[in-house]
Parts: sequence; structure tokens; C-alpha cells
Amino acid sequence: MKNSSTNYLVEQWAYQLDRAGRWLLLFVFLGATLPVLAQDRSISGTVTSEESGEALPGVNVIEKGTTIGTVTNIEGEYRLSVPNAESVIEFSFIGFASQEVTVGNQGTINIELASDIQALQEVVVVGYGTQSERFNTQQVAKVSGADFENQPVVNVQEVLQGRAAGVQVANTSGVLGAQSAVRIRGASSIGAGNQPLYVVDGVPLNDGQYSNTFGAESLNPLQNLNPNEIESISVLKDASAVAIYGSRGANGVILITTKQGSFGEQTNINVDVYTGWSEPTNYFDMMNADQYRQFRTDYRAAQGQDPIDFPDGGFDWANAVLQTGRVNQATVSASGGSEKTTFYLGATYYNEEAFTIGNEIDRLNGRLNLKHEATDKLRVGANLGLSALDNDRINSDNSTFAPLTSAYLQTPYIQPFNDDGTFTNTGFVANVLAIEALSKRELISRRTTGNMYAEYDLLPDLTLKTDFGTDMIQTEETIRDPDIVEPGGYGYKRIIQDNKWLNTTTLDYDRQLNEQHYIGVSLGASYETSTINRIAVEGSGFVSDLLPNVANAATPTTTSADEGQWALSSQFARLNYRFQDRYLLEGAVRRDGSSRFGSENRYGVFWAVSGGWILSDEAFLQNSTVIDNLKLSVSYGTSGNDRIGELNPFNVRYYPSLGLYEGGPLGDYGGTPGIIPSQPANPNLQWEETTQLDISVNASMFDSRLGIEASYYIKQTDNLLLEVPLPFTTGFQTINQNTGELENRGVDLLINGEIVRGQNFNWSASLNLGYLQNEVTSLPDDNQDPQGRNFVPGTASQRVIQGEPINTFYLIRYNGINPQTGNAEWLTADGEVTTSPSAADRVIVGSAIPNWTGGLNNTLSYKGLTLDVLFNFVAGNKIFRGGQRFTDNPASSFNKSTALLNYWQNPGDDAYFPALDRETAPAFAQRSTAQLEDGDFIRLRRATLAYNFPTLLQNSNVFRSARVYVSGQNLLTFARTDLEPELNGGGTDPLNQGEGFFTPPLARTITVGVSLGF
Amino acid sequence: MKYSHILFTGLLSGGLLLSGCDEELELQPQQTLSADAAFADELTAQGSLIGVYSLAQDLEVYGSMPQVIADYQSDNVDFIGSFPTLQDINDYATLSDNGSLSTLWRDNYETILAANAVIASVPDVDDPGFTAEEKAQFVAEAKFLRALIYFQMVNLFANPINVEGAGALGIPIVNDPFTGEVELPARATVGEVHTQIQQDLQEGVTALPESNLGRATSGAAQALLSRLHLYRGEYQQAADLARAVIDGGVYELASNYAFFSQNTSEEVFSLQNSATDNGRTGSGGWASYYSPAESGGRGDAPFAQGLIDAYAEEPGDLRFSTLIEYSPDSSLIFTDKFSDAVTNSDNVPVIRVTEMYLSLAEALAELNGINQESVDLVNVLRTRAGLTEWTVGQFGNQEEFIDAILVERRKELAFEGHRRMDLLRKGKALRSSGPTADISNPGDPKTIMPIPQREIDLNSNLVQNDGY
Repeated sequence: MKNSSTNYLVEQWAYQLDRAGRWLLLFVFLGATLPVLAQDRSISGTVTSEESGEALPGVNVIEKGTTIGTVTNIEGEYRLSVPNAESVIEFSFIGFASQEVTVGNQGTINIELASDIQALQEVVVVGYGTQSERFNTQQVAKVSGADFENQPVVNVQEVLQGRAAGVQVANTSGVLGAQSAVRIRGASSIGAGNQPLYVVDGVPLNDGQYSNTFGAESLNPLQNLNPNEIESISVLKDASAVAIYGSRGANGVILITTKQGSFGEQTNINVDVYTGWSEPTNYFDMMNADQYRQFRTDYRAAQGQDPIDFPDGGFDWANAVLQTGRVNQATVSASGGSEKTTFYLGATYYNEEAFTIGNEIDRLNGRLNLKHEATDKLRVGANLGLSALDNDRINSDNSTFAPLTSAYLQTPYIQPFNDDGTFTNTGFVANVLAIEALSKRELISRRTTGNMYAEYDLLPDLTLKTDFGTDMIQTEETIRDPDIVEPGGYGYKRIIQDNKWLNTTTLDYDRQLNEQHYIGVSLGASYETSTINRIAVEGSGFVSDLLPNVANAATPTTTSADEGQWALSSQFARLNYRFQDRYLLEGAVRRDGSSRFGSENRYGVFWAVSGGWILSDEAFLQNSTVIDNLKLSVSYGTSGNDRIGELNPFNVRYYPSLGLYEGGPLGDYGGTPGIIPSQPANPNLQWEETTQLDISVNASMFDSRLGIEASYYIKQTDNLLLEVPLPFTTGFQTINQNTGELENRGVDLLINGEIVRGQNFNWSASLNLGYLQNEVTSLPDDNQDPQGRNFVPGTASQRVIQGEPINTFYLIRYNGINPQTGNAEWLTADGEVTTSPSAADRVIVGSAIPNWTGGLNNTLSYKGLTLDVLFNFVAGNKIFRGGQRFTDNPASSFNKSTALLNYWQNPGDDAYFPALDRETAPAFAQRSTAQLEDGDFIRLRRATLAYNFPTLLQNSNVFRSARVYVSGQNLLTFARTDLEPELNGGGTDPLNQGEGFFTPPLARTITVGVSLGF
Repeated sequence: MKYSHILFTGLLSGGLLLSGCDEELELQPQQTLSADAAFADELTAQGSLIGVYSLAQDLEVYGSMPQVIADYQSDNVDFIGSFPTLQDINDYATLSDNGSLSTLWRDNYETILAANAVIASVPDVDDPGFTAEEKAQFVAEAKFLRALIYFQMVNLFANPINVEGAGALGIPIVNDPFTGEVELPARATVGEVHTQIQQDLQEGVTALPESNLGRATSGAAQALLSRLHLYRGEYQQAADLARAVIDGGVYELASNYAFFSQNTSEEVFSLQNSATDNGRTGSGGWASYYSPAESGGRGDAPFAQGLIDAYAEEPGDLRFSTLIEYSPDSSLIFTDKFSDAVTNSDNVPVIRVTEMYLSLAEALAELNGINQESVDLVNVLRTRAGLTEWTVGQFGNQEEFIDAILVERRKELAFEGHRRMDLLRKGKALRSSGPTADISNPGDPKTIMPIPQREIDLNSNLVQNDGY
């Protein structure tokens, strides 16, 4: 039962913290029990370079699996005590391959270290290329495919959740295929899209609205992507990383690289199968029929209303729409390569039935990646991803056809079945059991994403590459409601195709000029265009439910076809220079011409410069025993957001700058077709522009056992696209103008630690943390609140207010039930208690944007056993539960929350609901902070325990590897709210964040699986 | 070999940088027409012109709202209903943030701007089949519609010329299409607006065809010009133009009152509505406002007692007996000039030839005093109405004569949007009785509408009317 008193909340919080604390204690305890045994044996020696023979100072000399260690002195000498002859000593030094030596009976161990090109070549994928991690000055968060191996993640946004500092992934709901809002270093748009750019193997993905909303948001446009195929993900964050994506970089860029085979590698075949079960993480507690009848009778009597003769009987609707969900996935892949050719071949079948009836998804993915060295100068390759998806959809959120919404709202004595077993028509709140059994809501989606490329070495250091890519998505959406659901029957079919092609040509020059100077230059050009077509038919009036096709409808209500196209033509360049491999400089520039921009601003130029300094290579740090690597980098530059018009109606979405005329029924006259002006010409329309400063430190310490990446950034976005009113004497009401400014500033922190590095037991932990402050700094002054602040209207609960974060909740403050009077009380704008608040009493009460986001990942392994535990958390945000305005409304016929049973009866009662006869009782559920809660949570997002069978490997010629695993998702939640804390029914809508309306909660899932290598 | 490589590279990188070109980025929408494409050829130009008529059908343009507002301000109808914005207008209590007026201002200027685009773009349409005469006609039609809207707007938002003269503040004149550059026009004077209307219509008199169903004709332009001169007190021009329309041979009086919406030769210019194409936006329409609930209307504007009394002075007036609908539910009387309150398919009687008879009779009476021709003109109408004929001898003086003609005008043209201006231009109070009669004299602040506050806020060059 929910209790609104602050004390109770604090107690709950403390209790949850206590529970969390016990987990943390456990980890600390495990870390502290490292056995340190003493049985000393003294070793000494000299470490030299294999190539030059020179002594190597600063080499780490460590007994493997312990913290016992030292570093070589200026002469390359070391001295170390180890416990016994079995001890293994590891010699490691940046730029050289590590060596391990078992001590045995030796007293002197001299070592020659070979320089390790590999170590220097550890690369990170960046825009249009890769860079050495060591010399990279861009801020890029990396997620490796191995990080989520054996975990039941089914979409790419899920992969990022809690794994990258400064990346917030807000789940929309527990509906299969639901959208996720991804914000990289904060939201930087109000009137355009806020989503990052997704790029798979160099192909920027289409991510429009390819499905109907069905009460919530349209589905995730990237739901066809299969995380199993991902080798690595780079999240580009700072200006130096995103400037090369120009007008599409301001929201950040997510680069996805799919799996490849290796040259000269024996073919590996992998089979991975898992199955699992799911349930909702939480429920609303609704009245049963008896409680409902009693409450409403009492309430009506108290309010002096005539009694209602309620029917007998009852039905547990919530129970009827929930079930144990099931998930299954099977993946088969083969990868390998000859001397000249590599390949990766994979197929995945994924099926999930949600915990809500009627919601099921089937997905089949296939991938073929191929690379071939035709000559020693010419390389060709192709990456091809295919996918087919069938989503049996349900309505959710603000729809009376939604199983959960209706189950919660349905009057609990209403029965789903007639006596003869047929379905009843339950009226406005639909019979969701009938919908599940008889209606069809299906989205079929097919996607082909791929590219082909050729690379030619014009000179040893000069490579020309041309890449042709395509992303073709087709969705087919079918709705068919039978007579019992929609009298006469209803049918709908829509087909959307969004077909993109692009060509990118780059010229790369890369040369170490001499020992001092390195230079790298990339020049490129790209042309990209996508055409979207939508064809829809809709009709009603069917002679029989047995006629599935909409063409059988007697009355066609919609026949529509529309098309849109956009194109982007770009040139870009990047220059890298480094001096003595210590002083790094990079510059990038991109010029984008977009069909969406106005004719006066057709082209935008974006740029960034960044510099880095590897301090650890300086003399004063070279001999540090603590610091292995320390890099300081600074970047500054610009990028844009071209998603202008994205929130416009479809027919003008891709042409936001053109003066337009439209025909149809609005333009005809006297039987003659005509056209009328529908959109003002906007030749000055342009991208939104973000300028970002980033200061970062990357450090690696204690023999790389502790890694820290910290960044401070300030992102200022101006030319924000906003709707501005026009004088009517222009013939138009409003125009989209580039006005308005906002700022995101924050800190991204990543700490990696190898807490235990042993032979049998290893424990590593990774904490990522993003702190963010978002502030809207300038808005047009056509809308002002009573306090004189400019604002942009959002939902009924939140708006954009100048000087505050985007998505600021603006509500009447609820003050609880007065224990003496039994009345509900609110606060006026001035803070005085009132029982009759008005809209003028709304004040700022918090923001939907969390200040803190992050994740904590722990991986513990003991012999063949590995435990991987990921927590993720957000803090500082508010969530608004709109459904509560219905479940807390005593007067309506809808079912109610059991919380209302705790109504005030006697002076001193600590009640949830006012006394039934008070005038504040009917108004109790009015929109106020009574429905607003703290959104803070820590969630055990994922825990996976896997066991590798080592013996199987040795005794079998069949298996290369064998593994069994069990994995859980959303197993534990510590939150300030008793209900689902991850509430974001608005999905990616920039003006609607952190609100829910009977939004289905996330699933708690347990899966077991087996993975075999051949 | 190496040099050729370098050459190749140089050419290629040069090519790369130049590869972007504008044409690839100038994409045209598929389900809308860009402003250029809207005047690509004769067909689209015609579509753009038809669109102006379509906009003129809007509820707030000639879809009854401005006409109902004018009626609420004068003495033909009573206010019934629930729209507070209309009640405020009825009560002379309007404030400048009146939402109905803001929408009215918006939709009328939308129509003007759509007409401006036709006027500016049609002459340059490059289509060999599109003759100079056709272009001139299209432009003249757009100018006719623009003049019609300017006239309606200046009558609502500015004092009549007889009250404050030609120098009084009128409405903004905007004669150019919108191209993205926001202009902040000041209010032109009433005289300037009248001059603009006159210019626009003058062109139509020659460039427009004699007949064209539902579209602007030379007769319609003459008739509207006649109305403008009448309102300006330029009686000779008003008389000449009215006579030209009557004698033109195109229009003739209908024999009875069944002509509404019938496109008979009674009608000089009617906007053509149908069940699927009309100005209704869910909140009204001619029949919706003027018809009782029993007929599917809102019943918001029944006869005022004063109008009932006016007809009752001479019993047997067919304009009353054949053109009313009695509502038993409300015990009120409504006009039946607009019969289809269900789908609002009634045409809009913007100008009919009867008005020219009345205008000519009035103008001649102003010019010549009591005269036989005026009496004859009115008698044609009285005979049709089933009333006895007038004789010259029954009028004592010119003023009495003119007032009698105005009473005829009231009874003929009731509910067609004329009454308010017929009172104001003659210097008569809008109401002779009731609590607001004292503040209903010409020149009283609330007899004209406020410039919408939104427009004042967005355009610093606009000056508000007195009293708002």
C-alpha cells in the first residue's frame, strides 16, 4: 500500500539503501579477502629491449595474480620477492609485448622485451576510420560485443544502457519493440529530434516513424537490429568526434561495427541457444469487485448522490491480461578466413511472448560479412545484414484497447464473457480479452542494411576507398477488429518503405614522416538520399469477421499514399598530427548541404580542433611506478542537428523550408479542385548548432589495473528550432525559426579496475557515471508564464521554461490529507494551503531529466565460472504517473486503486484519501504533484552466471568450447517509487519525457542457455 | 607509374570536393506543391485561384461568422447561445483578446495573401496555352476576392468614412505574397483601403467575363463598386453602377423568394457551397447560426422583436411569411433563407440584384429627393413581396423617403450581412432600444471591432482602435 507521508518515503529509501548496501558490502568483503601468503624467494635481473639492447627503465615486474610487484630502475634492474617457485612473474611495459616467466629455481631472470606493434595498434572506431587508442584525442565511449555476450539483450539501445558514461537510455515501456530514448550528453533539441545518429559499418541508419502509435509511441525504428552481430560500439561524444558527421553530429553518433572473421583463422562455428521466462516488475494494486462496490456506495452516499444498484459478481481483469512471458533465441554463426579472405556468417532466430497477453515478436536475422584481398593493393568487401520481424502488437498507455490500461480501468464487476461463452462488448473500455482473441494488430518489418566497398593503395601510405551503402526498410502494418470490438468491423493496412542509398569516397594518407613527426590526412565526400513511401487503406463495415482483408470493407475511410525524400551532400576532411608521439593535434571539418535546409542556408560548415598531451611519456612521469599512461586532451568545435521538420506532419516533414500548397477537400470550390497555401516559405531555415568544449583526462595506473577516463564538457546549442507566431498579415499563423538556446554541461567518468588479477580468480569492475546539468537559456517571448518566464508548452504536466532544464514539471503542489480536517490540501503559488487550487497555482516542481546516470559492472571469474553483474542507475529526476489521475478518481465508473480505501475517517488519521464527504474528495485526483514521484532508481539490470567446461574441451574432438549460463534481467530494483521507476511513455518526444499512462512496466526475465563452439 | 597515380589522386580528390551540387538537394514534395509549382502552368494556376475561392468559403470569411457578428451588433437578431466571444460582441463588451475576432482576422488575411500570390504569379506563368486574356481574368478574379475581403474587414475594424472621414485608421493593406520575410505593415487609412478596393474592382469590370457561375464577373465587380460608392456617399457613381448592373441584361429579379441557393439570375455573386464543400468547421455556418435546433441548427440568431415589428407594420409581407421558420421549442422565429443546417450546403448570397434596385433607389433619392424612378424601383420589390405600391405623393420629405427605402432594404436583405453598415453609413444608431442603445451610435468605440491583441503584440506598427 502506498503511503504519501514523507517519513514513509524516507524510511523506504533507507530500507532500499540498506538492501543495496548489503550487496555493496558483499563486494567489498570479497575484495578484501585476497590471500596474501608469505614464503619469500628473491629474484633479480635486468630488462632490456630486444631491438636495441638498451636497458628499459620503468618496466612493471609483478607476480601474476597478486599485487606484489616493482618497476625497473634507470638501469633496467629490478629486485623482487615472490612466495614460491610456482610463482609467475609478468614483465610489462607500454609499447612492448608482456612476458611471463615461471620462477622455478632461478635467482636471476634477465628479460628481453620485444616491442609490441599490437599494443600500439589497439584501435578505436571513429568517424570514417579507426585511430590508435593511445593517440586518440576524441572522446569515445566503447562497448564491446563481449560485454553483453550470453545476455538476453534484444536491441541495440539496451546494449548501451548503463555501459557508457554520459549516455542515458530511457526505456519507454515493457511492450515488445518499444522505443527507447537515447540521450548522449543531454538533450540538445526542443523542436527537432533528439536521437543520436546510428551508423552500422559506415551506413547511417534510417530511423523514422515506421509504425502506428497505438496509444503510446511508435515502435523502435531499430528493432530489426540484432545485438548478436555487433563486434563493438563506439559512442562519439565530444566535438572532435562528432564534427566529422557535421549536421548530424550534435546529438552524438553511435557507430556500430559488426563481426568479422580473421585472416588465416580456422573456421569457428558457434551455436548459442537460450530460453527464458518473464513477468512484470510491478503491478498497480486495484480494487476487486466487492471493494469497488463498497467504496463507490459509501462514496456516493457520503457525497449525497443517489445509490447505484451495482451488479453482482466480479472479474480479475489484471490477472486475465498477464501471463508468464517466454523468450527463446537461437544463434548459429561461422567465422574464419584464409590468407586472402575472411568471412562472418550468422543467423539468429528470436521469439518472445510478453507477460501481457497478445504481445509477441518473432525476428530472424542473417548476416554475411566478407573481406578479400584481391591484390596487395586492392581490397574489396561487403557487409550485409538481413532481417525479418513480425511483431504481434498490443495497444498501450493512452488507449482503452490496451490490455493493461483497460484491465486497470475496467469496472471490476464487468464480465468478459456472456453466459454462452461468447465475448461481451464492454463499451468504451474495450473488452481486451476479445481484442486479444479476435483482433489483429501486426507489424511486419523487413530490413536490409549493407555496404560494399573497394580500397586501393595508390601509394604505400595513400589509400582510396569507395563505399556504397544501402538501408532499406519496409514495414507492413495490419489492423483488423471484429464486430464485437468495433461494430461492423474495422480494417487497416499500411505499407511503408524507406529506402536509402549512399556513396562515400575517402582518401587516406597516413605516414610517420620521421621519428618526430606523424601525419594523417583524410579527405572524403559523400552523397546520401532516402525516399520514404507510405500507402494506407482503412475501412469499416464487414459482412463477416471471417473476411480478414481490408478490401472487403464496405466503406473505405482512408486511401492515402504519400512520399517524401531527403538528400545530403557532404565533403569532409580530417588532419592528424603528432610530435614525438606525445603531442597530439587533430582537426576535422565537414560541409553539409541538405535538402531540408532553406535555400538561403543550404550548406553548413562544421569543424573541430583537439589537442592531446601524453604526460606519461614525459621524463617527469616516465619512471612513475603508479602511472602507466596519462593523457590530457582538449577539444572544441561545432556540429549540427538536421532533424528539423521531423516533428512536422508527414506530408511536409522533409520539406520544412519550402512554401507549400496543398489540395484535397480544403482547396476545392464549386466542384473544381483547387490548392491553398499550407506552409510558409522559410528560406532561412537551418540546422540547430551545438558548440562543445571538452577537457578530458585518460589515465591508466598500477600496471593497467586501474583505468580512469574523466571528461568535463560544456555543450551550447543555439539556433534551436522553435515554432514562432507570425502576424496573420503574412497569411500564416506560425513559422519554424532557428531561435532559442540551451546548454548541457557535465562530467563523464569511467573507472575500470581489475580488483583481483589471479590465476584462478579474477574480479574486475567498471563504473561509469554521467553528471548532467541542462538549462534552456533562451526562448522566444511569445509565451510567458505569470512569473514572466518565457516558455514553450509541452504536455499538461511539463513545459520548457527558460532558465530551467527542458522537460520541467509545472504543477500544483499537493500537500497531503489534513489529519484534523480530513480534507485534501494543495499549495497556492505562494505556498499557502488551499483546498481549491487553480491553474495559477502551478509552480516548477522538478525535471524529468536526471542529473546522474550510470552503471556499475562487476565481472568475477573463478576457474570456468564467470559472474557478470550490471547495475544501472539514474538520480535527480521526477516522473509523472498520469494513470493515477484515473485510478485515484473516486467519482468515475473506472476501477480504482486500493489506496483509496485508506480514506480519512477520524481526526488524526494518516490517510491517503480525504474523508468521503469532503468537497476535496471529487477533486483529489486533479493534476498535481500527487501524481509526481522521484524517479531515482538503482536497478540490477543484468546478472549472468556462466560456466565454461574445460574438460569437455580436452576430451573431445568435437567441441572447441562449451558453456552454460543463466541470466537475469531487472532482478532487483531499488527506487523511491513503489511502482515502475522507468517511466517514459513519451518515448523520443522532446517535449514529453518521464511521463507514463498505465505504461506497461519492464519485464523481469530469467534465461538459461548453452553456447557451444566447434 | 607513380606519377600517374599522383595525377589520378589529384583528379579524384578534386572531384570529391566538387561532387556536391545544388540540384541534388532541391527536392520537390510529392503530396504538396511548392509555391513555384503552384504556378507552373494554367492548370495549377487555376487550382491556386480556386483555392482563393475555397478560402473565402471559410466560416470566418464568407461562411457566416463576420456576417453573424455584424448582425449581433445591430438590430435584426437577438443573441442566443453559448459562445462567450460572440456574446461579448453582442453586448459591446468585447476585449482585444476576443478569440473569434482573432480567428476572423487570420482567415481573412489568409484569403487575401492567397489572392496576392495569384495576382503576383499568374502573369509570369510560362504556359503557351495560357492566354493573356485568361491570365488577366484570373488576376481580376483574385483582385475581386481581395477587394471583397478588404471591404468586409475595413467595415468591421474601422469607422465608416462618414463618421471619421477618409483619414481614419483602416486596416493593413498587404498586396504582396509572403516569401519568408516578415513585414510589419501599419494600418492604412480608410480612404486608402477604399482606393485599393476600387482599383481592384475597376480592373474586374473590364477583365472579368459577363457570366461565370460561382465566380467573379464584371457585373459582380460593378455591383460591389456600387456598394462601395454608396457607403462612401458617392451617390452618382453608386447609381450609375447599380443601373449598369440592372440594365446589363444578365440579371433579373426572381419572381418569388425561392431563389436562395438556386443560382438564378437574381444572384449576382454567390459563393457555391455543397454538402461536402462549405465553410463549416464544426462550429457553424449560415444555416447553423440562423436556423433553429429543430432544423439541425444552433438557433443562435433568431429575429429580434424590432425586425418582427418592422414586418408587422405592413401585414402580408411575403418576405416574412414565406421566409421564416417558427421554432415551437423556443417560441422564436428564425429566417429560412438558409435551409440546410445539417450539411450547410446553402450558397452564400454575397450580392444579388435586388440590392442594386435598392441602392439605385436610395442613391437617386439622395441625389434628387422624392422621385418617380426610386418609387418605381421599390415598387417592383414591394409587388414581389405582396405589398401595395408606393406613390410619390405619400412621402412628406426627402428624409422620410430615404428612411422608407432603408426600411425596405432592411426587410429585403435581412440576414445577408448588410444591416450593420446600412445603419452606420447613414449615421444611425445600431440599436434603438435596449441597455446598449446609448453606446451604439456611429463612432462609439465598440461599434467597431478591436484589432486582435495578438496582432498588436506581434506587429508594433499596428495602432489599436479607441476604447480597446
